[in-house]
Amino acid sequence: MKKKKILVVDDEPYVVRSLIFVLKKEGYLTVSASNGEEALQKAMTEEPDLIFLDIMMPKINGYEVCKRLKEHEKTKGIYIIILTAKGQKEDKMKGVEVGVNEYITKPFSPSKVIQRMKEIFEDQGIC
Amino acid sequence: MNNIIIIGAGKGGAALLRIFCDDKEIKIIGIAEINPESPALELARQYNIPITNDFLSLLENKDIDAIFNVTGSKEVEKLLTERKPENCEVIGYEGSKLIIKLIDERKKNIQEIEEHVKKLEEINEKLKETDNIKTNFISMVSHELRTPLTSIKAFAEILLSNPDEDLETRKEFLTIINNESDRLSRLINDILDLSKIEAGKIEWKLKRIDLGVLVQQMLSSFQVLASEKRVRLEAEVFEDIPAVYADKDSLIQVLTNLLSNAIKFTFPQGRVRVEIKFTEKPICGVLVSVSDTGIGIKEEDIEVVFEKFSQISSDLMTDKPQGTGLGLAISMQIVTRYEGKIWVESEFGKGSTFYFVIPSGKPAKKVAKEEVVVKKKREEKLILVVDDEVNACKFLSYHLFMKGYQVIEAHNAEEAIEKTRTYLPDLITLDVIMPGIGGFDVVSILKNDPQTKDIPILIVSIIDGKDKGYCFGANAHINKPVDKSELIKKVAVLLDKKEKKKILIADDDQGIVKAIGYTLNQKGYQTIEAYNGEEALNKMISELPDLVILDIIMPKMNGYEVIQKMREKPETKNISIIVLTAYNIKEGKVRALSLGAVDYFTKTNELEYFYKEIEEILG
Repeated sequence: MKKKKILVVDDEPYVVRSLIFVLKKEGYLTVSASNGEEALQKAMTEEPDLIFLDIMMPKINGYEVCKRLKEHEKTKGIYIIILTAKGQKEDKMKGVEVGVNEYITKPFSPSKVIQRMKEIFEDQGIC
Repeated sequence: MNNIIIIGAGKGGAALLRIFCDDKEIKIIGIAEINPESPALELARQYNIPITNDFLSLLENKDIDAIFNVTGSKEVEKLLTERKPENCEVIGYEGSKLIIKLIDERKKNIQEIEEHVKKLEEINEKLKETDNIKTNFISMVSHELRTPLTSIKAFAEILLSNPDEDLETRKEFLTIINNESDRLSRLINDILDLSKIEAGKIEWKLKRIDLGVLVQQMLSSFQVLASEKRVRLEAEVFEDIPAVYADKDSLIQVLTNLLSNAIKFTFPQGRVRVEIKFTEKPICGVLVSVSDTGIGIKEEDIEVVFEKFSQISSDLMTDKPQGTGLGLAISMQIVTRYEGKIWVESEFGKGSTFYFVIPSGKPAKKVAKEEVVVKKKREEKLILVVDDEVNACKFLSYHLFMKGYQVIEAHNAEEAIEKTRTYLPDLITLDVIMPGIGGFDVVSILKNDPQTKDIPILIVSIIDGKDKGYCFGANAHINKPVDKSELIKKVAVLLDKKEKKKILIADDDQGIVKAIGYTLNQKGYQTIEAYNGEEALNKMISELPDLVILDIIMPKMNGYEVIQKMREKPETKNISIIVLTAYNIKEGKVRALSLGAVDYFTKTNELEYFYKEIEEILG
């Protein structure tokens, strides 16, 4: 089976570092971006299978990134998991509006995040 | 609903109409008046109330609850009482007046209540707004706190589940955890600071502060940070800066924020410059500006830099700024607390200048201090401050001046000697490293001149020239950078000593210390007490007594050890010592004298000789 490619987007370098580390351990291909603009560009060129996306980022925030990706034919199928320190209900609602697939609140357990991601891929495989 | 009729459209009728017209509980069925010119009729027409000149016709309505007779006519009243419907009240002129008054008062009360309600609503709105701000703040705080926590949690878990990872990687992850924990504590501290300031819960100790001196003091620690980043850090303190009244720690906080930001956002080879001057615009006060050649701030971001958690990131920065995003918000709160102003001017990519003004009075016209001193009969002690470095000189002068001393300055050795001879100051503070004739030469010259030999000299130096200084006859020593309180203390000690000879009494027997102290005070000496050897030694260093009366058997350190230790220290080695002990054996006496005591008395001796000896030693 083709190796899955994951894009990790966060302006906090340590968050990116930790996720990339565990993803690589699990044998995934990884790409990272530190702001919204870079995220959009990498989503287009790298065609990842799944994106971990932070909300509070300079320039283009996570909601906007998600909205644009979901509007675009080429990227609308990418599964988007929001990873954010903003865990309020209103924030989640906003995520739903722009087509976020899942919401994980910071701080998170990297292993659980990976576990959840695997389940998603399994479900997708069955479909 | 009450139905009423009004008889009479004079003043009384008008008042009743006014009061009842907008009352939903009252219906005015009609008003009767024979004079068509009566003033209330116009009003009745406005309110669409039926008017008649035959009041009896109004009584045909059987649902009337009350009749107001404001005609004042007995005849009308009589007719009304006879013909009124059942259960209907007739209210006369006086009764009507009372009712009008009562209703008027009630209306006023209602109006007042309504006003109160309106005010309360406004307050409530404001509270809601504040509450919103607080909620937003808390949600922002939680976001900011979660961010470092996320890295800590993630890497801790990674380390736990990957125990076989190589040392390098483990070290990297632990370093991240450590750094992020530091970031978390910084955040917590700043958040607490900010909320304390906002809630007005910080105790401010307002003192007179010279911002120029404060900045100079702080600069040395920032010099290190700047040179690490290869940024040039320079400061200029303009002349004639008035003092401000402020809490020193809070000003340090503002300056620290601005200086560390400036250095942080400036590239290597760049420059950070601090200027302090008096200004009258935008407000009268001391203006501090911190300018850098750093990354600058975009126009659209200038408005938000003072907001909480508003870290601006930039493409020009390789790393995310490590601050908490609260420094400028805290600075803003502090400056605002002093009714000062803080603002920034910046050109993106070229650099920024942060300004703040702390309100002050206008600078005092420079007084030619030196002339004042010579002409005036000296009341305050006069101190000559000698230092070739102008800022160091200013710093010392300022603090001494603030303590109430008269101060004159000299910037080189020749000037110091000349001024000492002209003004005969009470004390000299002397920098030992100066161009030309050095400080030690000055000490030597002055101490060998009978006219100036008794003037105490306090050596102020960065080099440890204690020994040399004391050899030439200097009286005390203080290290640079000068600690203000140490300076003040040493100066006070030296000046005291000049007035009255100072004797330290060291004995663990409190009775003896008090008794000797009393007698010596009577004889005009100053006394200091110590109750063990260690205390005795410390007080010798801090108080520089002229003579020490020393017991041998004392707790912590015995008398012999005290003598030995003090002889090792240059500042105390010349102090005379008289041993006074109950330990009456020959060996003890021999040992004490061999260590350097001047004389040896036993407590059973006649103390008369003892006091005579003291007087002789102190001359």
